[in-house]
Amino acid sequence: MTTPLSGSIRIEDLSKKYRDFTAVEGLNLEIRQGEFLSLLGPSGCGKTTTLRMLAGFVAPTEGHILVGGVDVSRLPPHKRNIGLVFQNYALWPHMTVYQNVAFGLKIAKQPRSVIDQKVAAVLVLTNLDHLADRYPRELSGGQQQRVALARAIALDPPIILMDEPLSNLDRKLRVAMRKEIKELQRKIGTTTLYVTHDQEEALAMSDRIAIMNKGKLVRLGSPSDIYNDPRHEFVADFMGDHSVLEAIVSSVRDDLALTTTTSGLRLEVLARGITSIGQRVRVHVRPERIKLMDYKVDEPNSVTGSIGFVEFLGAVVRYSVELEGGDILLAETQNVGAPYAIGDRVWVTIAPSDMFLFRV
Amino acid sequence: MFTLPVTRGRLAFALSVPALTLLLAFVVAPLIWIVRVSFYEPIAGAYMRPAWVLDNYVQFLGSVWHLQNVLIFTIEVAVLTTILTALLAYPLAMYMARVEGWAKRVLMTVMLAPLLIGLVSLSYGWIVIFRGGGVLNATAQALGLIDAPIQYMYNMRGVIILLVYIGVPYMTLTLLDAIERINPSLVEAAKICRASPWVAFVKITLPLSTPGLYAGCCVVFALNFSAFAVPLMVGAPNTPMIGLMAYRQAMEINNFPFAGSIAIIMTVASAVILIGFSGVMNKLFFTRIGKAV
Repeated sequence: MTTPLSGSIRIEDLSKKYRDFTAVEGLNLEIRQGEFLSLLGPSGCGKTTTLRMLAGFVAPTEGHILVGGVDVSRLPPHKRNIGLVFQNYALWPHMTVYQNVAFGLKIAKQPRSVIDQKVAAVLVLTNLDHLADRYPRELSGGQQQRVALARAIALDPPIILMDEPLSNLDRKLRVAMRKEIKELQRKIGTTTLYVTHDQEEALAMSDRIAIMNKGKLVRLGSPSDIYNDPRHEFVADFMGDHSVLEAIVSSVRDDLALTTTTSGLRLEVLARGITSIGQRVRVHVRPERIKLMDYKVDEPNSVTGSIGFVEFLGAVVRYSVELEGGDILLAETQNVGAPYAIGDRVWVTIAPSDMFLFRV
Repeated sequence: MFTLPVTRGRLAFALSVPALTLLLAFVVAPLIWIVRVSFYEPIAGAYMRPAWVLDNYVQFLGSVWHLQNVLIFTIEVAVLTTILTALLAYPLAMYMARVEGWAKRVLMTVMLAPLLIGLVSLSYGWIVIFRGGGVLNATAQALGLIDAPIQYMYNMRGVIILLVYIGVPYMTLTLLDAIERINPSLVEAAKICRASPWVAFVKITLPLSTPGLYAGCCVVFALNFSAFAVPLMVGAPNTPMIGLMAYRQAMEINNFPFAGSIAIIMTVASAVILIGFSGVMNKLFFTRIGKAV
């Protein structure tokens, strides 16, 4: 069997520079044994290059990668003992499902009985046991995805890397597969580095998320940490739709900043370290944090406006609310009771802690 | 408006008439004529007489010397040169699949240049380099690598070298196409599954490139099996290759019926061998690769 290496990863000052382009710059990241960590970012942010350096397909320009405390940065891929699920699955078309999954075990010169047993177990685990003799081209996208997964875990690697494995599936299957992958990962406890550009996927699956932009790590934390306290405007932007209002800080009291938007709307916002009066800021408001009422309530940031458009999405309803001064807010409410109609007058309330301030 | 596609079809047909006429006139008609002539009765010292006789076929197929020293010998030469060509072309195709930009264009030009220059000038250039007192022998002797000149010309050594040399571009092009079709992540997937680069090549790249290898082998085998110009120019005067023999019978001995029967035997043998080869390849590889490649 494979040697029981610890599945912790330590990335130290990792950089990859091409002639006129820096793909990854000074990346430091620690991934704990058994953790599911997502590398999240837009295309070109360096997440795939990082994964390829971990796999050994790309040589780092600087820095080290330690797996279980051992420096693997200069090892070729076949000596790294890492599993990898490719975006396009990369199943070998001339081999059956069984042969695809058994490939690594055969190379490791396992006895036939051990291989048969192991492949059978992995195929049961991935719900593929009835498809062992099929060729990849005879499988659906979701089944191919599961074969790729089975092949990666067959060798019991302490670490599995996944490169946007769900991006080629349709939405329904994607949602089902992310649950399946997450459950499988929990069952076998393998440290997993999951690369994606889909923030919903990262939020749903990860223990922690590392957000990258322009080759650098921007924010690291649990999904709720990152969502509730993005700290960087880039992160806040990346985490979903929201309204952005241009404003100026007019006064700061305790940890509350009083801001005035360009249209004259006054909002009390949690200051989060911003103290200078006159500072130009952008106020980010998440649509689901906005309360819509038929009447005025005695809370901070209660303003009136009228419904601009209505998007009925089933579980939730989205509105744009045109405030008195002309600012427009995106609001989202649960689909309970009768929805508002275009032109309805509403009262908008936002708690000071539900908005984010970013310096311009 | 609705008649446009039909009009276009007619136009396309009209435009292809010249090429079709050429094919009919210079490929199909001569072939029919050769089949017919192969049953004529040759007249020694004269020409031939229309007839329906099997003598020409019996003369070849009924002679152990013709079967062994001509047919089998030519098959051996063609198989050997095809294998050598594949062995030389494969690494080149692998390398060309990897390089990009100007380096690839330079390689492509160098590889295809011989096809543009023409066989006759090439062969005479080779003779200058390879003959007993030629550049190669003179250099090797001057460097003390060999004591006496090695004879490359007017024997099978020269024929084999030149056939391989001519076959390499054809083989490389078909292989390159097949190798470039293989998604690089398939090889990466093998490596991440603990396969060394060599094992990944043997288990993934090689089997997935077999369609290209097969096509290249078919082309090179068919060319070399029927070769007559190369053995004529650089082989010994009596080189018993079947294509050269048919040429000599027709052009020098003027025995068209016998030349015709040799040509027909050559064509049938080539077809049988290639069909058998495709059957073997189908059984071994293609049914498994299927349409995915």
